[in-house]
Amino acid sequence: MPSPGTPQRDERGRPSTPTGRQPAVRILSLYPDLLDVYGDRGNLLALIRRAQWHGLDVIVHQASTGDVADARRYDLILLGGGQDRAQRLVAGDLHRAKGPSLVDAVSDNVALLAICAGYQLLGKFYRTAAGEELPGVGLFDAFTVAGARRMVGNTVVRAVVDGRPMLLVGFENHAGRTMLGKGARPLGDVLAGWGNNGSDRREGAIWRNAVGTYLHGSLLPKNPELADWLLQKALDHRYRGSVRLESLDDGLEHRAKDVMLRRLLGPPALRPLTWARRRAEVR
Amino acid sequence: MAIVESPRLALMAGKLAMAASRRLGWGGSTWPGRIAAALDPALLERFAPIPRLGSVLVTGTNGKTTTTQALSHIARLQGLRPIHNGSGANLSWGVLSAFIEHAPWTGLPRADVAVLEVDEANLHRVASALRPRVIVVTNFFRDQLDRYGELDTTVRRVAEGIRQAPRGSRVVICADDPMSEWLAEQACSDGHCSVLRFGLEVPTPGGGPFPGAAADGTRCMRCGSPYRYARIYYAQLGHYACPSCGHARRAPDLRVEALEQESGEAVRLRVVTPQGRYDASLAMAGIHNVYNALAATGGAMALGLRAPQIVLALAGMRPPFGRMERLALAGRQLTLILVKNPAGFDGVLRTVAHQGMPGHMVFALNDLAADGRDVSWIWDVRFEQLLAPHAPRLRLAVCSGRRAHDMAVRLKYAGIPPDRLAVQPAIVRAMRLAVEGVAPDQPVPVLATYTAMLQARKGLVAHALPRDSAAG
Repeated sequence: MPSPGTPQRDERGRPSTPTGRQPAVRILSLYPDLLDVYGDRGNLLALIRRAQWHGLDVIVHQASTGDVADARRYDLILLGGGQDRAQRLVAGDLHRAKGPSLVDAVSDNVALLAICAGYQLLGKFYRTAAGEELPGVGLFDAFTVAGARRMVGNTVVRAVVDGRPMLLVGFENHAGRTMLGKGARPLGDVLAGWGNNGSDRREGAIWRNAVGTYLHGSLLPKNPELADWLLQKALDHRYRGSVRLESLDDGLEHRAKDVMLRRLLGPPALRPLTWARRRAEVR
Repeated sequence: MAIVESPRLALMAGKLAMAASRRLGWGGSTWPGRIAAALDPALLERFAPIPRLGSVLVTGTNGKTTTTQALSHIARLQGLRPIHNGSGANLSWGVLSAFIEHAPWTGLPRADVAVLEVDEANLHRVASALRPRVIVVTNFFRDQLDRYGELDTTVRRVAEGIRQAPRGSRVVICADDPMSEWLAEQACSDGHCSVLRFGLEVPTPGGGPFPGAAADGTRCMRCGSPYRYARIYYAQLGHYACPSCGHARRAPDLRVEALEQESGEAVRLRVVTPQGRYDASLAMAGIHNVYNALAATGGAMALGLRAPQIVLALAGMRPPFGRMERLALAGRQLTLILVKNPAGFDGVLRTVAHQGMPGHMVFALNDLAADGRDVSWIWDVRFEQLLAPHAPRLRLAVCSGRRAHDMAVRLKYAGIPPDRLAVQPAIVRAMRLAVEGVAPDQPVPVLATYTAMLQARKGLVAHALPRDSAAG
């Protein structure tokens, strides 16, 4: 949904708020010491750098187990991936302390990105390989059960975010199979790779401005359109649509993405064929 | 099922395979072992009693090759004949190939000691066959998670490997690594093996965990609380203690108490052992190499070698293939440096930044199986230190390899201006671009993942040959 309001710029073309001040986004990085594998800090770095290049002020707070943090006071929340041991610690803390404020924040249109273990814990529960059930936050109508075989490899997802089509590339590495319930919408269709569970060719989940996904790689530096969508949603949360981002020079990022798209889908002219074949495989 | 029950026939077949694959230019570090093992699956077990002093297995995520090479060098200087898998082929077939290589055309291999690098996932297989006297565990850093799953799993696998070693064997670990201490608790606490620890006791600034340390090691292995560090040296290695349950670093049996950077790549250190204090010099730069030297010293002491001779031998340690190797291109010099995970990459960047550099660098990133198919680990490397105020100015970063563009994106987000970035996927062209306009006496660092390193080396050798023969 495009937000109402008139975008404003100062005399140097940088975005400005209705009061003429440099706009700011407040980012909460949750459990950065526990949920931090597979280049998760790349996502935070991409948001910080891109916000700076857009002329925004960035405030980043970190909160881990035992820290008090009210998610509703932020515009954008990040959760990364982690190993089983870390995931258990995080599940306990989310259940005891931070979970409800996270759901409230997303209900209030705060943007959120959760990768892998973080994504799994935003569903209803995660059942480990040992059969232990870790409680989830219930933000997504989904649950995850650990499987025997790890799903590992480069992935391409055709996503539609807020009505905008995006081809996302990343790398996934998970044993958990995530099943979406009726109330959840997938982030997109898997064109190459495994996705949520390796069987229904769906990947991730999206609810309001919250995105959960198995893609790391890191995800945001190579998919700048998703990074900017999250930043725009964060600004919308704070300034109610009065600050609009303009596009940056993302030539390098798109070339990096293109290398992987060509490798996995072939040259652009042949892609409709690849997709038709993949659809036939699903049937 | 063995087709032939004779170890001599299997050994002979392995020898033939080795000669054939060398002739074909395949190197011959895996195939001979594979063929011999197909003929006699118990061959490695039959070789177990051959080394007179027993076997030392070296495992861990970083520094295996350097440590194994140092150990083999120490053994040789004491007049011992070691069997050593010098080519870095560290799966069980590679280990078998090392024995085959040391065997004469007729008869069994002869050696005083076997010094073998073993991949973490293969340790249990090799240990159950060779029944080693000593297992050296260098460290546990995050490495190629897509291959082995998670770091906890790696530690568990190594623990299973240690349980395969005979009772009473010695395990050498890094006292500064909480993951290694946890391993020793898992594998040795019932008296199955005795532990020899090595560590650093030199001053550094303390405080919280080193930024960029793998999260896996910075939380208490027992209770999950964050460790407090009085000193921190490298990734999660340091003087750690858990404030809530008390799990803390144990005093090392073997320690470095003074460390001094000399000119160039040399380091002076004072090593304290149960047999006394010794001054040593090391011809390899970087704190990771000090740890490797200590790991080798620990392995040699556990084997019963004498400390003064061991320490003396350290001065002759040289970096193995791909670790700071010098090569020439177009009248300029290049230093090839292997990078494979964030901790190692950080160490190399720190060394490069401290040594000064010509301002041009090559970063070559491949994503084949031997490199790790997942390149997201580059986001855990602190390239930002290249822009630190004390660091020499980086004027040109040439990104190369199958994932050259990913590397360039990483450097862009580290804050390196796009006009100082170049992308050239072909490695030799990338190196050619990087040496342009650089003084002949200033080597250009080429930081490359495993298969990119092989390509770079092959390309440089092919380039050097015609010119050399023309000159000759």
